[in-house]
Amino acid sequence: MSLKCEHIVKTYSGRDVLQDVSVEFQPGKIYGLIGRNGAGKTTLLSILTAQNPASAGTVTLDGEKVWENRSALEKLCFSREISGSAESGISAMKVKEYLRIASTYYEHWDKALEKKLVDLFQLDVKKKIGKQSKGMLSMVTIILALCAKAPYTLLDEPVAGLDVVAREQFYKLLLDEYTATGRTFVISTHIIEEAAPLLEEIVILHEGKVLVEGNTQEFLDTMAYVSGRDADVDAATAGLEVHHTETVGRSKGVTVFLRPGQRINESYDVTVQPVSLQQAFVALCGEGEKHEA
Amino acid sequence: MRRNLKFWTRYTWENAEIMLSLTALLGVLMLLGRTRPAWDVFAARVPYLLLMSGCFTLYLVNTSSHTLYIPLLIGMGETRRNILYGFLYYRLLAILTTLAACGLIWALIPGEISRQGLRHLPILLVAMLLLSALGSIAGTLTVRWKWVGLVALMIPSGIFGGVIGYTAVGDGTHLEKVLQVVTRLLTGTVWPLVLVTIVALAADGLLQHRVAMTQEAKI
Repeated sequence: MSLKCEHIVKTYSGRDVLQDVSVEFQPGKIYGLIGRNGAGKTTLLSILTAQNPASAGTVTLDGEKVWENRSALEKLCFSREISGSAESGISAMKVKEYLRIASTYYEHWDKALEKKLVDLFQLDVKKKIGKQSKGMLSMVTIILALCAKAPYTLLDEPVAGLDVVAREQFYKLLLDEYTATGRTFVISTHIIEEAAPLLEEIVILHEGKVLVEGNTQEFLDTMAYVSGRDADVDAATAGLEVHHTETVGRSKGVTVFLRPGQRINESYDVTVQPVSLQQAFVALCGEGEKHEA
Repeated sequence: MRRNLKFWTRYTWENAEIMLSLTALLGVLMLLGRTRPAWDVFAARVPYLLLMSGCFTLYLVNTSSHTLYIPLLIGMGETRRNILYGFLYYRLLAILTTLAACGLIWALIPGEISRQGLRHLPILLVAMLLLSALGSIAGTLTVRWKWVGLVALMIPSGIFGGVIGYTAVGDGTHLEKVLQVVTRLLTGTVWPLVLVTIVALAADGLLQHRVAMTQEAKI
């Protein structure tokens, strides 16, 4: 019982956006899908929900292929960013109309929740999509994701453009929904620090490949921030995989990745601290070194 | 499939509102002409106005369906195959309802115009199928090349605008002349028209399938 993709490749104009990606999403968990811009997050989410054909590879839900399979697609919802630009045909559509079409197609659409969320977000549903702000459009995608009641719900940048109050509202609503229904959520976000407490599992995409897949806490336990005088830090982390270095004068701080059985030699005069998900992500996918005089 | 049919049925009625508005506009222009036709003659001509508006609406809506509604429905989790079936259902429903309305009006109003109209129903069906296929082909091409869509929209809009202008500046008989020319063209080229329609429908089917199966549901 899972949503699974195997050996997914997606090529756009000769460029591999996804390269042999295999990931499995278990039911009843909240996943975080993180990666830098252009890492392939939206492409992966759209392929998982059959909204974009893969160049190679397969996607299955509970063992059944998802592509052109109505019974599998009914269990999936991909709430992606809506473009409100004038060029987009949807800009002339009213939010009310968009939600009506969604309620027609999603079998378990929750009309009462839709009304509650529209009131909570103070959304003017009679206004055209093109006239809504970026934050308001994010609210529409959140309403779609929560009201569709799909067992597997994938959200692409759900909090983009939302102010801090609305973001907090969203995290609370998501958690309430998760607690009440046990639905699986996959959330792609750049606001890692805020979303981190929700993310039980993590998938990090980097340059079209899966860099990390697993339990968030277990992943964070494999990383540490070591700081002190540069010679001590070098000695304490000798033989370890160093991902990010910061130097200020003769002081040094490094983020290290610990493979099974490896440990930091704390007999040297160094401070070892746990890292946050954002720090770990920057260490793995960032530029590597940072020096300050 | 039930939800899919529900959407496309509603879509048909929503577009029928546009078609009826255009028909009303043409009808008013015809009545405002210098030589106002007798009511029974006017009523017998209404189906032609309905057909003109129907063809124009069908063409335009087919173009926008491919760029907006089909990706939107893919995004809502419907299969591409079902969406294409739904789209075909909408087109047939729109064409058959329009023709049924025309047939009914002609059957109720006696006279030469009605007799001719009823006789021409099969060829009018072919003409509507052809226009519907051409609009859909323009739509599928627009998914890949936006400028094709722009050109495809400009041509029928220009023609329809010309018809409205011609009707507005002249008396009611001008529109009748247009209709006579069109009818003569249609009845004089039945078999070539049928052949072209079959080719257009086949090309439309192939293109739709090709585009739908490779399209990303971006809105």
